[in-house]
Amino acid sequence: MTEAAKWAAQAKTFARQEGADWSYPANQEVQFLYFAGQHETARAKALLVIEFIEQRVDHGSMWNQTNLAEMRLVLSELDRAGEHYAKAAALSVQSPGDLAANRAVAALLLAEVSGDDKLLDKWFPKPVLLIFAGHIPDCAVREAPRLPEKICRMDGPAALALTKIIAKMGVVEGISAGAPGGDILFAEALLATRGRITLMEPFPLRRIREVANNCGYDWSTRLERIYEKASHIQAITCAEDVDGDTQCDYANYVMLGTAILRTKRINGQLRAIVLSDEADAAAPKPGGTGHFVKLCRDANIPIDIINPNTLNA
Amino acid sequence: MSDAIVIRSILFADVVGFSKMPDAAYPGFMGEFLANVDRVLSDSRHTALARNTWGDAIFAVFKTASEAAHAALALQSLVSSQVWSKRFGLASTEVSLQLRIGLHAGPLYEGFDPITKSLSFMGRHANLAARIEPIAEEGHVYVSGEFAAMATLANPDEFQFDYVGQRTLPKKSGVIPVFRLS
Repeated sequence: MTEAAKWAAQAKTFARQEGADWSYPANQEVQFLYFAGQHETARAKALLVIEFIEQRVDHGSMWNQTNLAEMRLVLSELDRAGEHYAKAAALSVQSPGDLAANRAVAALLLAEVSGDDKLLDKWFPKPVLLIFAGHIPDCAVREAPRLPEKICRMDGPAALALTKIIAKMGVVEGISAGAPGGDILFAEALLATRGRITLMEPFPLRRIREVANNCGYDWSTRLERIYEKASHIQAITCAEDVDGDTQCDYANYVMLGTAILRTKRINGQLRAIVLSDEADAAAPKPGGTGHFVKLCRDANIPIDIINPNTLNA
Repeated sequence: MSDAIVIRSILFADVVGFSKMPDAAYPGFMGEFLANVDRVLSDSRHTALARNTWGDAIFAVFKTASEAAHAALALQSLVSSQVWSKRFGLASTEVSLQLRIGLHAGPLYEGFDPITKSLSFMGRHANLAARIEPIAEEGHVYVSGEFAAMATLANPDEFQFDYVGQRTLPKKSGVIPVFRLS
């Protein structure tokens, strides 16, 4: 730690000589010194960092608020640290990676300063990651309606139901496929609430585009729109001639496991939501939405179910 | 090969240093090293459903990602826990044995291999696993995102997967995100 503090001090000196913002390496130096047990030296330097940041025009930025919070923690000023963290958390709500990184540093400092880990949840509400699965619109020959077109039009009842739940949960990030119907509705609803969407396509994008095109209406346009706005698009490995059910089964496992990994990475809270009338099927078919519900329940992931049959068109 | 498609986890390993071994070392390699590998692949906690070996290559298929991950780590442990350079005449050659391991999971065709006369698994996902192994660092286990996801779904806290980055696979097999298993 002492050696690391020396390197950070050198980086700070270089930044000062160049007239650049030296608050970041200075922050590192203070933290390394603090963790090395040199508390008084760290506190004295923390005051200098605070003074420097507070004079800056951009002192209200997320990173500067985080820096100030960390320096206040080093000074054992928990209330003032909390005020800065609250501002930083509000500013980083759309960047859960940053939120997670800040939360991790705060956890280290808090453990050293007070040992009160309840403060962490107060300062940084865990980012909510929501994973979605649902039906595609009914084709013309389907006898029993499952997801009629009139239910899943833009601004229709399914979209409204999804938007309401997403807003209530404060979701910052979502994972779904991009098929017409439930998937696109979910992505649109999440983007409308300024959330980030990752699309994990079970088939090559060319095949997804064909499906959207075959569904008619405006599905192709809406698919392209969410492709443009998605934070990340990942095509799950797929053999060109694989049968659909097997690949969908595989995709359910991969998508859910990826969501758990991502949730761990951002130190968040994972929830699931489905738009499905088969969520409570006794023996759900692998690859279907009902089976996705079963996997979520087996993994103890809280799940909300919107049954399209209960929505009024 | 039958028409049965099943989701399985695939392991490909390469014995680094194999081709530099003196001829006199091969009996020991087969009788000792491969015998130890067999013990790992036969362990009741992670028994391989199918296995094969040729030259410096080891191929195995497991029912679950968790079993494949445990077997891969056990193989790395096997190599690192023994001073192989002192065994079967390697000391004077400065050859040290290391393993490079790649793991992937996906739908495969299950069937009977008429050449090895044993159960085998084939398909695009097995090919992908074979492409991951050459990009792994010596002494490490690299896995696909799909594998990391399936192992995590089974037990979120059992393994650690560190993101290595987007890596180009050999033989024009594309670019995929790769993780290091520990």
